[in-house]
Amino acid sequence: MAGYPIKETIVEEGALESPMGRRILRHTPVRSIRRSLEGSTRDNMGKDALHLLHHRGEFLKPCPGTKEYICCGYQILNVATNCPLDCSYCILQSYFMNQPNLRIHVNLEENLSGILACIDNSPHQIFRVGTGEFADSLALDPIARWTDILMGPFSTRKNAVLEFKTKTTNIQGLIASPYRDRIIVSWSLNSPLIAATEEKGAATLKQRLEAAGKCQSEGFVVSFHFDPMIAHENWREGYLKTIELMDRYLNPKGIIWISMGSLRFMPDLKRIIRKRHPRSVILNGEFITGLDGKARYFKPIRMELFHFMREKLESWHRDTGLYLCMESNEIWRKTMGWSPGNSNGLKRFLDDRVRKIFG
Amino acid sequence: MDKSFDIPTTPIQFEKIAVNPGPSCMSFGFDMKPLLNSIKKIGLINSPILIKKRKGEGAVQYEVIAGFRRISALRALSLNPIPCRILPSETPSLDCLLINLYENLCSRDFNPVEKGMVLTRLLDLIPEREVLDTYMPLFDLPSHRETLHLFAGVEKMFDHQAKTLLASEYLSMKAAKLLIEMDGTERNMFCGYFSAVRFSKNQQTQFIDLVSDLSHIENSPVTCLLMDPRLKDIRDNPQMNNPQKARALITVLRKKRLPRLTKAETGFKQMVEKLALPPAFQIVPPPFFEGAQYRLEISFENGKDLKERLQFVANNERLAAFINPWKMNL
Ligand code: SF4
Repeated sequence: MAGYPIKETIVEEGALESPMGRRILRHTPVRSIRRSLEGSTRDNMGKDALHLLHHRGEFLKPCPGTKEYICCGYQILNVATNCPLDCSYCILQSYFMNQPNLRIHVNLEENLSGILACIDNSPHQIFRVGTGEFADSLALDPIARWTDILMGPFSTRKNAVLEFKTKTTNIQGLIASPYRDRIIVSWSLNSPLIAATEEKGAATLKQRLEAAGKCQSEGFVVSFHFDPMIAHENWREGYLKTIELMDRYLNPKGIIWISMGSLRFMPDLKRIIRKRHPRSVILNGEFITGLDGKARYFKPIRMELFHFMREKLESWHRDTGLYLCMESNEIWRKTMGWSPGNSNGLKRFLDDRVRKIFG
Repeated sequence: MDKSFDIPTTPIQFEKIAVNPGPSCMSFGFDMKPLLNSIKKIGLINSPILIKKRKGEGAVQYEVIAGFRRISALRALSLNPIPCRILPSETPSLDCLLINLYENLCSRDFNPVEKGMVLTRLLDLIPEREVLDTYMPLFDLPSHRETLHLFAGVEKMFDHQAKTLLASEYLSMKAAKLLIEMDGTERNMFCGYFSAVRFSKNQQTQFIDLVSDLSHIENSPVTCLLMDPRLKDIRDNPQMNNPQKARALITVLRKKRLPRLTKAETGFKQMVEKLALPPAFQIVPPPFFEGAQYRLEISFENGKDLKERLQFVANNERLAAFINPWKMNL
């Protein structure tokens, strides 16, 4: 199932009253079903346990960002938390350590009209919405069928785009859907070394890019996220190799944006990474405490990463909507040659990309 | 348990009381002097609580339930016999533990080692949930599993030296949290440094963090790194005081762990020195050079003075050479 071994399914009270909950359970070859949460604190964060529940909070929320760095004004659609992949740098390890299991919010369909009303009520605002902040957007799509639920409604809205962000090749649901407009399929990319050693359970870079090429040929707009970039040994050669692979599988004209962000993490995550991924090399760089309290590379190292990537990506294609994730005005100017100035400026830049690509 | 704790006292000879604290006692690393003084001045206020052992060993017939410190003080003062309250030998272990706990809670704070002792014993006797909900708040601790197991880990895994450091605040709980995940030899070596050099709390975690990071990066065991003669020489240097040693140790490690940042810091200092500004001027870099702005601080006596100093700065040709103190490898 979805290529990930699910050992048990936990069904919270009320979850089977939702059609989505019943559908998932019907199509899940579960080994065991439990209705109680007792004993569900697990060392592996419950990455092998499906957990069907009602989400009690709001489904659509702006990405919290931070005032110290320029952020993009993204909207998070909280369809699930946790992920069957196991990237060493994954921030969810600290967010959801005490909320284990692959939690699917089965009341999404019942709440969809409210989510869409929120978008329709602000017709002049462009909503760049993504499901890939608290989970991989497509890893569990063969089970949850978010593509069935969300693509139609988003496709018909002129002031929104929906981005599915993944490290998998689970694109069957996308391809089977008749909708293309306003849908962005997005892959997180890294250097081959990091993809192979730090992104456990993820598709290889080649597979990801093949899937992206397939999506392009099926008429989808695609995007990419080089985030988190890692300044590992020979990182230049590594990232260049990835760009060469992109060139092999993709048409750069169909890319709406490529983001770049360097590794950053709350100090607490370090202990978790050391414990859960003792062979990881990602913590080996020179980190300082950033203005937002997160650890991030010493400034010149970030500048080198971004400058190098910008140069290489721009020599591949000049117009890929390249932007930086959570960086300062200074770093923007010095590495990208321009700056949106602030978060509103970056939002405008990305909204313009939406208008340019989707009209 | 009978809720009114009304047991008459009985005089008991020292020899009949166990010398070691029993399983209900939770004293670690205490200073006996204040208690000795108080007993000398006004005598024993609160009589210790004992339990009759089911099986006596030699002369010893009683185990201490509460008042181990008092008994030790009375022994030191040779005040024999001791008026004690005796619990029936069938008193359940949990009751004995709670008698000790509540008696102590009324009169003193528990150090982290003692908290660990109590929580570990409670975990043996009652469900974890109850320990979390009922007993963690008594120690001003959050009812989190992670915190509970951290304290229990101190009790189970720390040796006497590590516990002594923690109880005497030579080791912070934050540092203990890092040490608990190490093996015993590594922990002992760190504790060797912490007993020889009094680091601030911040420096303790920094020191552990730097050594652990270097151990990962260099693929070299923590124990080897801590045997580095440069570190040992600083630790054992009789010419240096504690703060100097702590700073010097951190500096050596930082230089190795953060070569570009430390180089930039040195470069910055050299650049500022070259400007040869009078003491009234100070250039402050943004923390870790992360922000874009440096700050110039000028102290002055009055407006005229400030004007002159500003003019001095404006006329300083060398300022133009002031740039970010790092090299880019673009
Ligand atoms: S794919 Fe994303 S959500 Fe899943 S483990 Fe990796 S970083 Fe975390």
